[in-house]
Amino acid sequence: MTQQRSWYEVVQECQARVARLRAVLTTGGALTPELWADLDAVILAMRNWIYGRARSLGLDEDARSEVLLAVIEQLHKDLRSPGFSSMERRFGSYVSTTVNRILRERKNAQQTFLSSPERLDAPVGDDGPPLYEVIEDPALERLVEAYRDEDERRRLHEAIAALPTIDRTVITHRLNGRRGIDIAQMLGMSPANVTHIYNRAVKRLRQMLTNGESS
Amino acid sequence: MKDRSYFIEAALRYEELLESGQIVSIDAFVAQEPPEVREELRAFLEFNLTLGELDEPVALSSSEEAAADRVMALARAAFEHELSGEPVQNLTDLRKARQLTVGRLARQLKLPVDLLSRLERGKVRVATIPERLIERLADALQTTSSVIQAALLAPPPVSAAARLNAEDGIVEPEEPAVSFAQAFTESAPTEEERAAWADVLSGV
Repeated sequence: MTQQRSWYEVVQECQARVARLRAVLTTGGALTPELWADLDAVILAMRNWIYGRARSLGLDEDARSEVLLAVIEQLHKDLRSPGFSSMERRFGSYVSTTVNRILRERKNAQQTFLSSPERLDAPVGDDGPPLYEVIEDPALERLVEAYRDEDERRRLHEAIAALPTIDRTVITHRLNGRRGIDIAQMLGMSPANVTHIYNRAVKRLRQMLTNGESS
Repeated sequence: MKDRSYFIEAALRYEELLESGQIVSIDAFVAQEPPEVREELRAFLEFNLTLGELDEPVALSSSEEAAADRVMALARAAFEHELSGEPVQNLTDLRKARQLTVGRLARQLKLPVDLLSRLERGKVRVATIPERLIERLADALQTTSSVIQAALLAPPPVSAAARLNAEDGIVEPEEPAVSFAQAFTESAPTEEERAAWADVLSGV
C-alpha cells in the first residue's frame, strides 16, 4: 500500500510514468488508455503524501482537497510544458515544491497559518537569547558518537547522502563544525528556519538508521 | 508577476545548485532573476526549503477519500476536455452562449442569484461544488458534465476578477473563495432554494 512505501520509492515509480507521459504530451500526442492509467497512478501515489503535508499544517478538509486539486491542475499544465524537463529527473522535488508553492500562495492570501517555524526567533525569557540558540542541541554530535564503529559510520554517511538536498547541506555543514547561525548566513535564511531544517534532518536520520537496523 | 510554474522551476534550479555542492545564498540566486519577482521568489525559496520534502503520507478518512475522488474526477474530466482541442469556456461564456441571464439560470437551478454570480467569478472553491450542481448545470446549459467541469476550472472573466470602484479608482480587496456551503448560506437563499439543496448541504 502507499503508506508502506517510502517517498523515494513512490518518486522512482512516478518518474518513469512521468517520462512516458511527457514524451507524448509535449509533442501534442493523444493519451492512450495506458497513459491515462499512468497519470491516474501518479496522482494516486502523490495523494496521501499531499494530504499528509496539508493536514500537518492544520488545513481543514475543504482546503486539503483544494490543495490536491491545485497540484493536479499544475501537474497537467507542466506535463505539457517542453521546457519543464527537470520534473522528469527530480519528480520528488517537483511535487514537494509544487505543494509548497500552493501553500505559500494560500498563506499570502490568508496569512493565517504556518507561523510555527518563525517562533524559534522568539527570545527565551524577557531578555534571553533567541530560542534557536538554546535548542541547537548536540543531537547530531550524539548521533555521530553512537556511530563510531567504521561500519556504523558508513551507514550514517549513507543515510546522510540519502537526505533531501537542503537537509543534507545543513547537516554536512554542522558536521564540519559550522554553527546554525553561520549556515543561515551562508544560505541567506533566517537562523530559525535553519534550526527547523536541522531538527527535521536529525529526526529523519534517526528514522532511517532505526528502520535500517530493524530490516 | 510570473506564474506558479516559474516559481517552481526556479526553486528546482536553486536546489540543483545546492545539490552540486555550490553554496549560493538565496539572495545571490535571486539577484539573477527579474527584479519584479525577486522579493516573492526570495520569500518562497526560504519557505520551500524550510517546509522541505513531503514528510509522510496519511491514511485518508472516508470523507477525505470521497472529496479526493471527486477532485480527481473533476480534474481528469477537465483535462480530457482540454486535450480534446475543443475551446475551454468558463461558466459565463457557456451561459451567454445559451442567451441566459444569471437570474434566469439561477431560477432554473433553484440557486440564489448571488451564489451563481460568485461561482462565475471563480470565488466558490471548486473542490466543494456538489456533483448534482454540475449535472444540473450541464442540463440547463445543454452540454456535458465534462464541459461544465472544464468551465469550473477555467479562468473567470477578467472583469469579474478586477473589482474596481469606478468613482474613486480604488481597487477593492480581493474577494475570498469560500466553500459551496458557505457561499450558499451567505447568499440569503429563499425557503424554496434551501429545500432544493438541503440534502446536498446536509451531506457537506
